[in-house]
Amino acid sequence: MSSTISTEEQQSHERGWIVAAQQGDLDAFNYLVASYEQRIYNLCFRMLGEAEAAADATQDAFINAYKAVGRFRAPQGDLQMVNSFRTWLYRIASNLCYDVLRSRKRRPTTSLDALISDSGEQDYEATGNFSLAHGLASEGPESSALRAELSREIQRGLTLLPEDQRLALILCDIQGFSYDEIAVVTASSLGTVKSRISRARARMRDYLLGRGELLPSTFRHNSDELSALIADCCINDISMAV
Amino acid sequence: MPGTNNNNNQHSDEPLDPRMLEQLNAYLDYELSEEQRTQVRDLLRRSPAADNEMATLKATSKVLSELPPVPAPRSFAVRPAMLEQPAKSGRGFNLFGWMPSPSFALSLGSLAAACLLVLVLTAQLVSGSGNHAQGSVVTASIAPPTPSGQSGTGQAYNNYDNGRTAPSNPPVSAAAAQPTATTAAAVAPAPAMATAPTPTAVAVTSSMVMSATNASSGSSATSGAGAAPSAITPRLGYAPVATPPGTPGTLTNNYYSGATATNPSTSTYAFNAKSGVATAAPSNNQANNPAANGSGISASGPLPNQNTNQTNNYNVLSGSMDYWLVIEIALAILAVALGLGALIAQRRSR
Repeated sequence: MSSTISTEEQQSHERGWIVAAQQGDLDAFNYLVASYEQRIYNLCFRMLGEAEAAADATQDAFINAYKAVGRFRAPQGDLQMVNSFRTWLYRIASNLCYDVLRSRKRRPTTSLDALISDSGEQDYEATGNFSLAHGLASEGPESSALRAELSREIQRGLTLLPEDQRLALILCDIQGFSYDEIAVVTASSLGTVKSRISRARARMRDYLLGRGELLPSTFRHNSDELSALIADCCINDISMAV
Repeated sequence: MPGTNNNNNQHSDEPLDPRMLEQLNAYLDYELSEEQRTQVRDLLRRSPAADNEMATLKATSKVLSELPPVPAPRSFAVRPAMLEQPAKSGRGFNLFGWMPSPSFALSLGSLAAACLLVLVLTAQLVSGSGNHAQGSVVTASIAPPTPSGQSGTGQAYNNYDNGRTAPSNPPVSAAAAQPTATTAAAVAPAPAMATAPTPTAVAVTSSMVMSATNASSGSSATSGAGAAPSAITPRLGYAPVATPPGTPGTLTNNYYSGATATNPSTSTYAFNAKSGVATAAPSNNQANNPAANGSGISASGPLPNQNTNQTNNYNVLSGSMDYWLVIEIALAILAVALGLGALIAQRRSR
């Protein structure tokens, strides 16, 4: 109950910040930034696969959002307004990510592998907060290395997905958006969202299964064992029964 | 066998229908109604392939959802100074909240450049104000002076510059027909090249009025074309070139600056470049062949002893189309092509 109240209070606060930001209150907007920056940065990072580009895109997303928040049409009600603001903010960020990816296509200077291995891995290890890379504190070095390898493969698999599918999968599986919310963020229909998620998830699954030989030796099993290993490695309470 | 949960590799052997795959994913994400969920459960009991598909998809989804958040490297609070700075990421600029992509901006810029070039071209061609002194070489073999003894020399020039009717000191090195001229004008008539009056040679240029002065035997043609190439004011860095005296058939490019000179014009030609027909309105008996295109006119000088009724031949060198026009047209085409290419690239990228 307390968490529910806390959530409602948070929504009420956010609503007040949104209204104040619409009137030009930069401090109020920065409260919103503090609430969303972690999530927006993660969206950008998963889309771009590079820490610096993700930070720039995140910053630009908030700057653009502040410039345009006066035109944001908020529905009535705390929950509706907060949800609408969230999807609006994600849409700005995802559009910026698309732009960065387009500019990369025009100026391909860095290979995909280099991007992932150079920036992603170093970022994780530098921050020391990537638990898939570093594993649990009680894990041995071998398990930690396995998880780090798996996390790199996941990010590489995400980067290889088509942009639209990547965004849909990130929003669904990593950010926890519903299909309706994804449709709003991506400005597409519900059927398109379902199709993109389905294809993206199947591709991601096939990628992870197909990269078994590149994974550490304990991952080199048949696909069923690999999927079970993936599940065991990352999910403690996974149940294969539907 | 229904109800069993075989994790065989059947999912790769028997790919499911895409719509069914969507249903499985929607089931996984709790995006189906209860009735639809029941249908999917029935399918999973009946089909080991579907069941295996669901298991692997669920494992993949869980792997992704278990990815820990990457900590933000810094605060992204917006400071007032940031609002004045250009965006660091993809978009190049933010114009009043409208943020065109770079390719769109490029296409806009190219199309704007193309429009500008077309406007400039049109303005030049319509107004005849190009003052395209550079480049065009007109050779006029000027007939000997008329017996009337009119002053002036054979001048052929384009009235192509700001509507001036008689740009004096015609660009012409016009070896004008001044017997008395002390200039280098005394050049033998340009031979073959100069004698072929081909109005079509200038058909490229649009309406252009050429007034040509056929000086008769050069009496007091001190200001005449042949008089002093040195009097020509160079423009745009081009120096006037005088035809050396006594050089038969020498062509001289005169890049005139529009310096004025007195020209006792005796004949004026309205030259319709589109049709390539020159209309002569001579004020004397001379038959004239206007052949001026562009501004540089080279007149191969007078034959002092020729018959005064002899036809004056103004020849335009074929291919003397003003190459600045060509360059501008080429630039316009290039700009349009760039703009269209950028638009196509942008659409494909979407």
